[in-house]
Amino acid sequence: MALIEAVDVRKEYPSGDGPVAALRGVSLTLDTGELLAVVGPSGSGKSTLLGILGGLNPPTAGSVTVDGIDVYSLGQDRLADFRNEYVGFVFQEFQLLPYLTVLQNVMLPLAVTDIPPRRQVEMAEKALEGVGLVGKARRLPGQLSGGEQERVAIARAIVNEPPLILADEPTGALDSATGERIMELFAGLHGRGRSVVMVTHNPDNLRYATRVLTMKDGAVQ
Amino acid sequence: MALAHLRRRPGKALIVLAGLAVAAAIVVSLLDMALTMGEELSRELEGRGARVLISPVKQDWTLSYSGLTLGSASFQAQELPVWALDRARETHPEVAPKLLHVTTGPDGEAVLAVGVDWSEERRLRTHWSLEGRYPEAAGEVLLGSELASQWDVRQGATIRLFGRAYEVAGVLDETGLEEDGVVLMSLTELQDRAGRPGSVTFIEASAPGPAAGKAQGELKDRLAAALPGTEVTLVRDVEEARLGLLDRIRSLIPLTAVLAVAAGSFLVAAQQYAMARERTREVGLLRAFGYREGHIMAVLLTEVLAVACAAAVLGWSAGTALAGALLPLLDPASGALGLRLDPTVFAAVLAGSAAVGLTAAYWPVRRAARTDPASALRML
Ligand SMILES: Nc1ncnc2c1ncn2[C@@H]1O[C@H](COP(=O)(O)OP(=O)(O)O)[C@@H](O)[C@H]1O
Ligand SMILES: [Mg+2]
Repeated sequence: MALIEAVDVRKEYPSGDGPVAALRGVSLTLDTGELLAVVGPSGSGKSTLLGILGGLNPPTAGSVTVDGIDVYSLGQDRLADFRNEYVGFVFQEFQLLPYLTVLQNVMLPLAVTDIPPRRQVEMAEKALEGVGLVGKARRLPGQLSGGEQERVAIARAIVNEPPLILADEPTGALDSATGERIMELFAGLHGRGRSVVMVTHNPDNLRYATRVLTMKDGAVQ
Repeated sequence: MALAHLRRRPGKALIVLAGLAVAAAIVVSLLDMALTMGEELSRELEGRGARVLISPVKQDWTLSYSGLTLGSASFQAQELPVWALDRARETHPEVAPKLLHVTTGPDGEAVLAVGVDWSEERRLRTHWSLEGRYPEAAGEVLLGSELASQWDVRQGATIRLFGRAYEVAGVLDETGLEEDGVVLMSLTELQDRAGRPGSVTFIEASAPGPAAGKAQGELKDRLAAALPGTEVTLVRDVEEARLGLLDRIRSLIPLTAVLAVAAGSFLVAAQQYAMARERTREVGLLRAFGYREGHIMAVLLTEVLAVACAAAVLGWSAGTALAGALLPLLDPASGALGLRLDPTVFAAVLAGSAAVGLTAAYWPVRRAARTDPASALRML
């Protein structure tokens, strides 16, 4: 069953010398349970595509449907609710808030839901357990290694159990052994009925993918 | 989350906290002082009030009683025209006529005897307290506290004046004013003993209602019109200087409050604009996690609110301490009473600080909340 349907997605960014085309008509379908790896040279539009699929970046043209929802027909608040409910983002460079503990970071997506606070803590602890970080819940991100921070970011992305995980070069900043363990985590995720779209530069990661999408100059190769 | 940010990243919020607290402290100290002084003075004004004094046109006065200064050599001759009392009564029913007469005390010293109409006097001097009772008969007197201790007499004793025995019906508690040194007795008795039947040195009148108000001014004008050839003056028993000080403190409050609000708003707005720039990534991240604009505004405004409330508490404490230190220097009489701590001042400062914080932060926070997550994160 198709979770995502993107049809002829185009994106132009305004710039000093006219608009820059980051995506020139990308169409793709993603089924539930897939782990799609997106590869391609820097500047080919991978991050832009990920943002558009996650309801974060409105395309200039084309449409994105997730679970039957025409994402960009939603108003601002509904779109925010959509991201909260459907998408877990794992950003490059982890993007943890340094002044919050690991547990509080993981709880961030839950804070705007109406889940009772105690249950939120339980869910965050469970997510941390899933990435093997139970003992570090009260630490600050700065006290963790890069691999541990990445795992916090993953825990945060899966904490409210979204059907879609979008990860932008999740192993880019990690050594290969750590990256391997992170990839195993992602493999476990999509194994449990979740869909993952992952931008990666690392060819080693591709063997975890169910499918590989290669981009160049804003188009699928 | 908002509080965690403040706790671990106080930064510029501390400057805002300090600024708002100082502004609040200045306003609070003025309010506290004005309240305490105002209360003290209005108590005094209510007690003694403002009175209208009808007196003969002044000459060479040096002895004084009840705000009127009389020359001991000449005042015996000074009295109001015979029609004055009736005319004054027609204009205003509550008038208290008085005859001042210098006589000789038991030890041969000069004593100021004051003849009064007891029922009128008691209406006028509601603030008097005394040991014993008010005289009723012609043969009874009321003594000022200083005179009573000078003569070593108490209530119930007998003193000799005008070659007669008078019973001391009561002794006035110390007032700190001229009353302390006089003998008060029945007007008609004094007129008879002094050989000045029908004579009145001056007349006091007081209008009902809050003292120092318009009523006395109007009363004064009416009496002045009805009693030509006399001097009609408005006497306040509370020193003008203290009223002036209170006025000055009060007049400072609006300007200070406006400045405090302006400075506080500027600080908050400046800090929040800086915050909006510094935290775009963070806001973008929250947007990505599904925070609505309203959620983000709530998070950011909660931070501002926490700072503003903390500033109000600090400012109130500091302002109250400042007022407690300053008031005894500015106005010892009210300083001695201790500060009057009005919960509404605290509530007002808390509400004011919160309002300033939220209002000044609103636009910058709204701008921050509208951060486009894609360009804020840029790595997606
Ligand atoms: N927010 C933005 N504003 C302007 N140009 C952008 C923005 N994001 C991406 N671009 C441009 O769009 C193109 C694609 O960028 P990106 O999607 O980040 O590619 P990739 O992730 O594959 O490196 C690049 O030319 C980049 O400079
Ligand atoms: Mg990229």
